[in-house]
Amino acid sequence: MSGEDRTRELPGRPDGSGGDASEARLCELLEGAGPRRPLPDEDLVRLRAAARVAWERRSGGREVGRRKPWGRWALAAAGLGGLALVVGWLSPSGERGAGSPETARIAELERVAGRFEVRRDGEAAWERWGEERTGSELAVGAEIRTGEGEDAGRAALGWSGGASLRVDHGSLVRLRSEREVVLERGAVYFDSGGAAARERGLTVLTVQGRFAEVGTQFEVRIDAGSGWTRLRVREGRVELDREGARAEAGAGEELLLRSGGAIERSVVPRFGDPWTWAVATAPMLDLEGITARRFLEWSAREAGWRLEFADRATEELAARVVLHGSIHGLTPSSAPAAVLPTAGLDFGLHSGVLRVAVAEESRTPR
Amino acid sequence: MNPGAIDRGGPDEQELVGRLRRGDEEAFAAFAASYLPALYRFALRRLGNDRDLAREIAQETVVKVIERLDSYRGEAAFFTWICACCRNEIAGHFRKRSRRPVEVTLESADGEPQDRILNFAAPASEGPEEQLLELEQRELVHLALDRLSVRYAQALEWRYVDALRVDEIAARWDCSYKSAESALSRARAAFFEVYGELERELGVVPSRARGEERA
Repeated sequence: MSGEDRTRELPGRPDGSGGDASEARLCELLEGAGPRRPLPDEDLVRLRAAARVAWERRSGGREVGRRKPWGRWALAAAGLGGLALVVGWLSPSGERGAGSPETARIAELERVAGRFEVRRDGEAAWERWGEERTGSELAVGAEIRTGEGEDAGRAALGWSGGASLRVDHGSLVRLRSEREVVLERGAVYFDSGGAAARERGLTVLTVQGRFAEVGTQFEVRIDAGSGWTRLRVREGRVELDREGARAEAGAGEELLLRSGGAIERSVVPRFGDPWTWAVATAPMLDLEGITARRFLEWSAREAGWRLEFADRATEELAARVVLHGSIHGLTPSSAPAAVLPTAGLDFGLHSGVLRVAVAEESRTPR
Repeated sequence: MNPGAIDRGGPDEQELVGRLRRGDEEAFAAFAASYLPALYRFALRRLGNDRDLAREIAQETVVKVIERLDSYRGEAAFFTWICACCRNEIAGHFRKRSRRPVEVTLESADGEPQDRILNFAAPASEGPEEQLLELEQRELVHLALDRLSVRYAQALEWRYVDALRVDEIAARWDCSYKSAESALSRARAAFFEVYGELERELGVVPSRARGEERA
């Protein structure tokens, strides 16, 4: 709706002046929510009929047989097991599948947003890559260049040992070896994949220094215009080696390295806005055959949340529910809303804690 | 259509429940119109848009609600109490399946994402917390619209979702401009009343407090 139309039509405001706060709030809520999904009339008719039967039994004292629940299809038996769309999933143990060759290949393209360019070692020309190249392997010496603006792209690479390296817009990265990448500009986010991968550390080399991770999630960003390099650590710790001088940052810390040599240390939250681009570029989890618990661990890790189960019963249920299907098109942070209800789980998010409970645990009516 | 739905500003909930207990037929019609669509949508949302299961759960819920009307004390809003009953039915359903691995499928046989997935997609540009809160808020808005009468819900959706002018709304209703304007004004008030109640009693974090949740 154009602003002109809306202001002219506001009830009680013949002068067409701008809407009041409640009008603005209503616009925000309804426009944001969009149209309701129509409820099937057939279902509502049946629901009203069931209510009527119960009503008449209560009101009239008549002997009315209780209507039995409609039979429903058992999910497992109804042939709803279509299992398409497997996107690469990195297991915490780093297994890529039996028989993965140990060649010069050190990374696999797992997720792409937009387009970017790749130049292989020893070649002069850049190749334009997009989503169609998902699954392509990259070897030592390969360079990745992502654009900005209309050419903006991002990429997520499955790294050896089960880790994930993500490249943001406007970046130039070279895969120097299995354990080293050179960041010329832009930003990379690295997730070592958890404790199992601790022995396979990755070092990010920049003009300002070497950032060596020790079982962690972190981001390194270079602002060429301003001449600073910034390290943000989400989990674990990162050691900075700068011409022999060392510094270290732990989880929730940020180091800003200015061109003059100064290092400023500050705090960065482990979830939320600072990590949005990295979460959006996360390789999607292959749900097929994994438990709800595994799904929750993945979602929480990617979003930077702490996972908490309300009680042992919830934890046991989550470990027992086996998932099938796909969450393609979702992000790690929006996927719980789609997956958990079908698993009989409820959840809440507060201050970075994802708390999961069996669906029966609800607020007591006042 | 739910022509008998309660217009906010009419009989309050306590009176409605009292009349239901006494067997008032008009009260039942108002109850069915005003609460059943919202209950069904609530169940659908929590059961991943599984229609068969949501119908079953909603049916069991409404039967129990009617049978146990005398136990409703009025300390919470009536719809909140109905939702609590629904949650208990859902929990009971899953408890019955709790002795073996629970197979849950999110995708249809032809590989197409089911509606439940499409309904949960959120702009990737938003932060993780914003995505979840937006999904929550979307549900509350739709539940609130379900709770209003058809006329009020129509007025609001035509105006704020479909961007119709007031004279266009009046033409659809075949009424005067002033009548449409007046109905729209009442609809707005009714919406905020219901939405505020849902936000307080069912919401994870009230939308106005969202800013406090950001890192």
